[in-house]
Amino acid sequence: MRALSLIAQEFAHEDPSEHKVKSKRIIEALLFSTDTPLSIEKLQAIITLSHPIDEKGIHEALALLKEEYERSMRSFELIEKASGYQLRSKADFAPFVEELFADWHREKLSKAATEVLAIIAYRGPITRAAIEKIRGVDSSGALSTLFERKLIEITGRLQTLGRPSQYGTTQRFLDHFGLRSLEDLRAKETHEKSDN
Amino acid sequence: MKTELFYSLTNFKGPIELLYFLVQRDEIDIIETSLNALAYQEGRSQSDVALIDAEERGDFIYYLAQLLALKSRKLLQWTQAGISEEEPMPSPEFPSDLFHYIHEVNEYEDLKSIASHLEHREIHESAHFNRGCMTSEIPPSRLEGVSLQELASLFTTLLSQRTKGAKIIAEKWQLAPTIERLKEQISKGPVGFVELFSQEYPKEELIVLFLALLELMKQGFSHVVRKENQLIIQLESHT
Repeated sequence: MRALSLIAQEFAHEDPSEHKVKSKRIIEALLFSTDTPLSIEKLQAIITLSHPIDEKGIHEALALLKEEYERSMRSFELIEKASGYQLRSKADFAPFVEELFADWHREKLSKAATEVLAIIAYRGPITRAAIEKIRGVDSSGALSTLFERKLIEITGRLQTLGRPSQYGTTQRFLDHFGLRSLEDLRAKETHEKSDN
Repeated sequence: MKTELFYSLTNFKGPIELLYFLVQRDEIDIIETSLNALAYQEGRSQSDVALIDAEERGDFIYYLAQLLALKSRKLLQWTQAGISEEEPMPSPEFPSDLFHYIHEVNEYEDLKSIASHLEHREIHESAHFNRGCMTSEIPPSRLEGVSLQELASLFTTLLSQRTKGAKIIAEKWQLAPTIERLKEQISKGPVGFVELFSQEYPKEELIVLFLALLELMKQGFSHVVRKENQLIIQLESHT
C-alpha cells in the first residue's frame, strides 16, 4: 500500500486543473467504501490530505459525479441526506435488490407511530402528555418503537411539575425519510397542499 | 339559520371569523395567507344568486377588509414608517368552546395529513437501498454458535426436568425487576445457561427469567455464546 504522503507528492506535481477530476475520484472511492453518509466536512478533511480544496470545490466534484452517474445511466445514484452524501440503488431496481435480501425484512412504521412522529416533527420539542392530548389516545407504545428505532430522542425537560421529558426527532429520522432538514419536510408539505 | 362557510387555504381551514381571530392572536401568519384564494372561494360559494345571504356576505366583506388591513399594515410596516396605527379592531365574538374545538380538529387534521405524507415518503424511500445497508441496518447477532430455536428448546427441556412442588404466588414475578437482577448478575461475569435455569425456582419465575434474558439480548446488554459444548451467557461490552 502506498503511503498517503507519496500520493500527496504525486498530486503536488499535477496540474491544478486536474484536481477537480482527482477530487471526484477520491470522493467516489470514499462513497464506495462506506455504509454511512459522508459530510462535506469529512470529504474536505480527507481530500485536503492530497491537495487543497474548499467547500465549493467539494460541491463541484459531487455535482460532476452525480452528473456522470446520470449520464451513464447507472443503476445507482448519489443523494444528499441530512447527515451527508451516500450512494444508493435506484428505485427501478428495487424488486431485484429485494430478491437478494429476501431474508431481510425492512419493518415499516405503524400508522400510530407515523402519526406520533409527525406530531413530534411539527410540534417538537413536545411532551408525551401533549402528544396524547392531540391524539386522544395512549401513545407510549408508539414512542417506545420510535425510540428503539432511534427516530426520536429526549431533547430536554419541561420546567413544570414532574419535569416531563420533551421529545424531538433525530438525524436518523431525516435520513429514514430522505429529508435534509425539518424545513424540507414543511416545505414539501406546503407545496403538496398548494398543488391540491 | 346562518350557515358557517368553511374556507380551505394552505395554512388554514375553517370559517373566516376564526381566521381573523387566529391572525390577531399571531397563530397564523397573515403574510402567508392568500386573501385572493379566500375571495375566490367566497365568490364560488355565492355563485347561486338565489341563495345569497346579504348578512353573511356583509360579514365576509367586513372580515376580509380587516384581514386586508392587517396584511397591508404588516407588509408596509406602517407603524415603523411613522404612520399612526389605527385603533385595533375588536375581535369577533367567537364561542370559546367552538373555537377550541375547530382549532383542535384543524390541527389534528393537519397532523394526519403530515403523517400520511411521511408514510408515502417511507414507501418511496424503501425502494432505494443504501450502499452497505445490509451491514449497517441489521443489528448485530446476540447469539454465537447457537440458534434461538436451540436456546428455546434447551429452556423447554430444563423446564420439564425441574422438580415439581414450588408454589406459585400471583404477581410475584415481574419482568422489570428480574431484568435488573439478571443484568446485575451477568455484569459480574459469565453465567452458565443451564446453571441459571436449573435452579429450584417456580416455573413462572423461570419463564420470566427467560423473557428477561431475551429482553437483555434485544437491548444489546447481553449475548449468548456457546463455549466448549456449554452455553455461557456473557455481558456484551460496547466499549
